[in-house]
Amino acid sequence: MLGRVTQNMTTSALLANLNDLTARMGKTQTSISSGKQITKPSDDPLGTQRDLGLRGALEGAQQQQRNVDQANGWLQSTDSALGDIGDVINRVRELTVQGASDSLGDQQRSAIALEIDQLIDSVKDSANATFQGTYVFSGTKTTTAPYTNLPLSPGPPPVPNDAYQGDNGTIARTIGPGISVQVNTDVSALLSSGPGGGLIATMRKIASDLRSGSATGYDALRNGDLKNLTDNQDALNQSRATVGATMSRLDSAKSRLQDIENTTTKLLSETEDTDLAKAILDLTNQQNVYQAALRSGASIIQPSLLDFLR
Amino acid sequence: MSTISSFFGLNTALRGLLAQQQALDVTAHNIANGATEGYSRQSAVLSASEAMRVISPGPNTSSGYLGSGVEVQQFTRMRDQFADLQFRAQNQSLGQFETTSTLVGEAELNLSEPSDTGLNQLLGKFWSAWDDLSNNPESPATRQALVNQSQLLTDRINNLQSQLTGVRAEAQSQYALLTGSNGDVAALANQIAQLNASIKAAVSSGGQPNDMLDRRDAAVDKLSKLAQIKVTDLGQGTIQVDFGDAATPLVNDTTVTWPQPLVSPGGQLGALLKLGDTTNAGTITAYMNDLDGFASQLASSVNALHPGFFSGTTASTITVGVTAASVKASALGPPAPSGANDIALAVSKLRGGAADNAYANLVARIGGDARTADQQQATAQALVTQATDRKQSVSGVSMDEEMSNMLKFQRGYQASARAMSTMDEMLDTLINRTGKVGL
Repeated sequence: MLGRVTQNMTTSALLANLNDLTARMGKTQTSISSGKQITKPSDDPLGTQRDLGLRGALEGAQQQQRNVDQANGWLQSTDSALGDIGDVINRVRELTVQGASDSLGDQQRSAIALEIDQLIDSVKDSANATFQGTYVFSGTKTTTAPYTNLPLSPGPPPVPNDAYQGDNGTIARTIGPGISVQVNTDVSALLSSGPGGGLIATMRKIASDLRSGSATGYDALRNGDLKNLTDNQDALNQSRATVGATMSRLDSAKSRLQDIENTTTKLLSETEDTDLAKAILDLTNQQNVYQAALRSGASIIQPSLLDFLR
Repeated sequence: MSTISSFFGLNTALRGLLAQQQALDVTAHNIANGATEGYSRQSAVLSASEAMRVISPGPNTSSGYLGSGVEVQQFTRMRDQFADLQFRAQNQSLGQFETTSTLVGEAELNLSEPSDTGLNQLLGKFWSAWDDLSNNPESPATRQALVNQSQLLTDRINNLQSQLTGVRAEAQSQYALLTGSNGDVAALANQIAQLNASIKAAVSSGGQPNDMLDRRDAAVDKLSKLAQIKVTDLGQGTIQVDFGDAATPLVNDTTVTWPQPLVSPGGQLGALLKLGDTTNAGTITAYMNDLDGFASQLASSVNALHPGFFSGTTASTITVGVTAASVKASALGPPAPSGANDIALAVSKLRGGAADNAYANLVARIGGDARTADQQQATAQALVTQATDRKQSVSGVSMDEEMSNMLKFQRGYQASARAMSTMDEMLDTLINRTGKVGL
């Protein structure tokens, strides 16, 4: 308790309190007008640290969603190409069964063989599918078409080039924090190797059997060739199942990333955004106190004994 | 046997008049200095002047003391030495925390976090650029984008480090300015030494140089904000001032010893020394080391996957060591297959890792320090205000009090004058009207 209170003390105390109130109103005002309760790290050091982590996580979740979208596009190209190849296999099966029939003449068989030659080109075209300008079936050699329709030698008869031009590299995309998934399918395992030496070799064999003009050739059509074709189709279906599984994995990754984005945005908002109702209430309170301080200050500072002595 | 002079009463009244007049003068002096910084209110100490022994004549001889009026014994300065001590101790803390708060706050502002333009955001975008590269390793555009984003990141790191260096240099130059030959310390020390000499001269001739004492106290108060001080009374009105942890007293009587090396002086200078310290103990240097640690963590973790991506391992030297043409998305080859993206994938997985944490920790550290300094400053400010109030309570001029004193002394003066005129009338009766029979 102070014994004497002088005018200077009252004045400076009032001034200090008014300054303090103005500063607090300014802070509340800033937090209202900027919408942020953390404008610099010292406002809440731990909150800032969490805020930075959340901002990083948000940026990551947004980017990874873009990664998932890109992977999805890639897989859709893959899936539709594989679907086209499946259609071709069905057509080849029909043609093979038709060509194996004893009622057909040699000319009709060679017409069928011609169609099969065309279908081989169509399989290669499907295998040369691209997504955003890159070949999806070339392994990591994404700028090289996996198959070519240019013959090895022009002939006649032309010697076709059925060799796989890509590699066996894998291509992956990041679809979550530390999670990556392979997006490419090794098409050479379907087309250039496997039962009957792969789909292309099987089709070449069917065409040559059709052209053979011999009973052994037609027997081969009925037995070995159809069997190989079925095996090739099984392998294709297996690949499509893998692609489908990967796509559904991407879908769930996408929805998880969206969840993460939503939760992170909400947490970020809770950490750094101003609670407007509270801030405005605070401001109103501070204004009331400020006005009261001004009023009481005006009535305290004004009079002294000087005013009453004559 | 003694009798008293007829004029004795006139003298008594005169003393009254003079004393009241001097007291009024002091009151006027107080009012005039009501707003003067460091002024201590003064008061005239009145006491009864020496009484006269009187022996009254007559058969029953008795003696007594007859008062001879009033005199001004001294003009005292109202000052509480303990309040001064308390004020100076708190003022020292205030100086220290105020300076720390200002400069750490400056370092904090340079971070510009949390925002969409700070280093944290650039770091996130940097990792995203690697993701983009892993999605499109064939594209030259993503490589260029990665290089550009990396340059933005390293520029910001370089820039932040030079801003922190700037804050440290500011602390050093402020220290140099305050302690230099024309600085505040030297000026205040010289002022105190000169006042010591004047006060000594005044005291030895029996005076009480209140206003010079006030000015010296004000100078010591100012000095107390700069560093921890210790004031020792040397007698004859002079003082010795020990400053910080300087080996020799800053002011000893009339001798000033400055400049002197300080290690941990406390106050504003102590804070500046700690902020400007270039060893690892320095506050700003520690932040710079943390930023170096972050830069080195970033460079080593990225370079481990992509050799030579960053060159330089400190915050001030880190730069992008590759061009769009030499960015490698894959470790295969050379030439790497166009779609291979193993390096890009691996680097993008560093997101949210040690480098991000190192930076977030740095921000939290600076933020925490700034907050602590702000709070300490607020506390010190409150304590200084309290100590000032205590000082003011004793030394401050109260207009109400001065007004009532003025009335008191005015009335006293009027009454003394009345006493004098009463004496005068009495003497008039004695001199002019006595013994006139028959004239």
